[in-house]
Amino acid sequence: MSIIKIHLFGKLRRLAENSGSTDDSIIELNWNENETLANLVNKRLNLSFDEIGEIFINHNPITKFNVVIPNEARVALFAKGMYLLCGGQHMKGHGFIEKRDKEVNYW
Amino acid sequence: MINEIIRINVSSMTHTMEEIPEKYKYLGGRGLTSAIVADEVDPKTDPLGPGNKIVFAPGILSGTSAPTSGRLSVGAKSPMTGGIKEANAGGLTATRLAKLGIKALIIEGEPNHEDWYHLYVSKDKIEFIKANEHANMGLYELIGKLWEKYPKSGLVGAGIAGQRLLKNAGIFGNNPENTDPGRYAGRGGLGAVLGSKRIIAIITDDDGGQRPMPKNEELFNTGRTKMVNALKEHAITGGKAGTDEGALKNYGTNVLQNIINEAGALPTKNFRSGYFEGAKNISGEAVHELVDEMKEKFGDKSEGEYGHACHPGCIIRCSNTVPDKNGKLIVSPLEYESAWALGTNCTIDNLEDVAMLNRICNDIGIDTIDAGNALAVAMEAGKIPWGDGKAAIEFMKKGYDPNDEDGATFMHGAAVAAKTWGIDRVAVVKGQAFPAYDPRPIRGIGVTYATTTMGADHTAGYTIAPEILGSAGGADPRELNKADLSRAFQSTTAYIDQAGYCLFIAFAILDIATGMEGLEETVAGFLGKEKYDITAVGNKILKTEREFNKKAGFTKEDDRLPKFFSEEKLPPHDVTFDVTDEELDAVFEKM
Ligand code: SF4
Repeated sequence: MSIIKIHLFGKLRRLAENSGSTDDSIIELNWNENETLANLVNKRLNLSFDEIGEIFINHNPITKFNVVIPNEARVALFAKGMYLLCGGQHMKGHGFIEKRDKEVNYW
Repeated sequence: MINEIIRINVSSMTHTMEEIPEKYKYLGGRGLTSAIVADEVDPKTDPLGPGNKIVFAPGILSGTSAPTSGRLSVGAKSPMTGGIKEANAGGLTATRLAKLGIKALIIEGEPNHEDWYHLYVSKDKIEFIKANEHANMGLYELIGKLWEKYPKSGLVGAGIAGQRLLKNAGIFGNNPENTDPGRYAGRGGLGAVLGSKRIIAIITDDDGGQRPMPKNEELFNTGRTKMVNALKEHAITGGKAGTDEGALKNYGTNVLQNIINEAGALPTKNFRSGYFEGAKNISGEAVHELVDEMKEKFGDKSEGEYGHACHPGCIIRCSNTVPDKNGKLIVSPLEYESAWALGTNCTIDNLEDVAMLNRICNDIGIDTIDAGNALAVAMEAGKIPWGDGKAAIEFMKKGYDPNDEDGATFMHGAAVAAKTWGIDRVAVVKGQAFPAYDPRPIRGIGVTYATTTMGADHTAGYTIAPEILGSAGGADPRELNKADLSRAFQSTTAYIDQAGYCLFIAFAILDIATGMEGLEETVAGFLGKEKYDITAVGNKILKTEREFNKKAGFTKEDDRLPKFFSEEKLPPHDVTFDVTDEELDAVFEKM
């Protein structure tokens, strides 16, 4: 089956059926070939990026909204303000918290 | 007293007051503790012997109106790493000392008696108070008793572990409400150094003291406004508890439990996986929900809280109080590192158990990060089943019994526990256990763990000074390699530690340029200098510390991670730590 799973955290959990802090707050959607993160977030989830903090696809932090979502992806969306901090800052290869204008090839 | 160093000699049981020497005039916090330790302690001395000294220094801005600046640095030669150590914490003592005009309190000498003492420090007197009845007492009880006699005082000291000279003993500190001794300068065994001086608690009373005033008020106030605005504006440090805005005020640092898990970098089961299914149960979100539930049930009687300040004047307020099911306090705070160490790393996902483990650490006086790593080692050794919170609680309680060998071994921390119990798998650098970020998917933090003077320490690098960005050519940290980035992080962090600001200002000041200006201007304004070069000051602190460690016998070989990190792939990323030794060595060769 071609699906993607959106894992939601913080205030975004409200979009899922199970929205408690100890629930897995997940929405399952059909995978659309060549769909970008921007399309998924803005059109299908009806969210603006201002409402979102850190984003991961298959456990990798994402900085570009035009990234194409792979089939069977695990997409994690954290609510505004929830970012990689402290030691986590190193994962993006720089110290900025909110800036997403440039990708670093961390690996 | 004004601008003074207080020197306490436990051999003669006397004290002297010295005017701050010219060379220390512009130092505070970590800059001052490290300078004094480097100048006065023989790097080869026995950390628990007469040659070691323990130094308490408020940050440059502690006690002033600069926001979130009330941190206290504690420094000595570390019994855990064998190198120089600075650990810092919130609580009340930094602002109390600062208002008394005390820049540093140095405790030195060797007691020639078997008694225990408290040290009472106020405007009018400094005295030793015999305290044998408080020896071996749990710290929740101790701080309660001390506030009955010395209400509103700042308290720091050595708990049961420190009094028994065990290597994972932290320096406890009371929180502003005196409900918990959990404001720890936890790392590196500094509690054992204080214990070796036979001091249990330092009681500071700032009655009649004065707020330290800046030399250049205009510059200080300009910087202060910039800093306040940056902290309020940023999505992490700003917002309001109980609203949609403000991650730290709502979830505390434990917001990271779910985030680092999604990053595939949450060290699970003694660093076997980067993902823990039970992370959500012990996350900041879970604490938030529990606090709300208890408030709904018990109203104002519930002691649960988020958006709590660990010291007067903190406007970030990342601290919390975890309640039990009756709304009563279990522990304050439960931070990310502690929830990870005592929970995820041991595969324990019951929030109440994890909070209770943290409470026991606070009560017996040990650092939670090393304690969690030591618990995982005990699980490796088959002494506790993996994931069994109740068994872990019972095991940890052995620490109260002075005759229990496992209890004592455990309270020495992970490195000693592994050696004693014959376990190879232990995540330590320079004898100090890893914090909550696996260095395989997050290699930059691995570089910092390996090379910082402090032993594996995540707080060694959070942000970068603007002049470093400039000198890198691109004014963009994203152009830097991991070695340069780690050095730049470490240097700016040393500067923040010296200023007395909480490191969490770092999140706002790199994203918001005026915040970084505020950092420099508040410090320069307070000291009456035109400029206070962040990189130069930070580098000087790091050089002093590196030099001490070199003389203590550290070599490049000590700047390495345990072998299994470069040999064993970590799921889900399936990567190893592949930073070369040359890259690690480059961090300080270029400084
Ligand atoms: S941000 Fe948190 S740790 Fe830092 S001073 Fe404030 S309450 Fe304490």
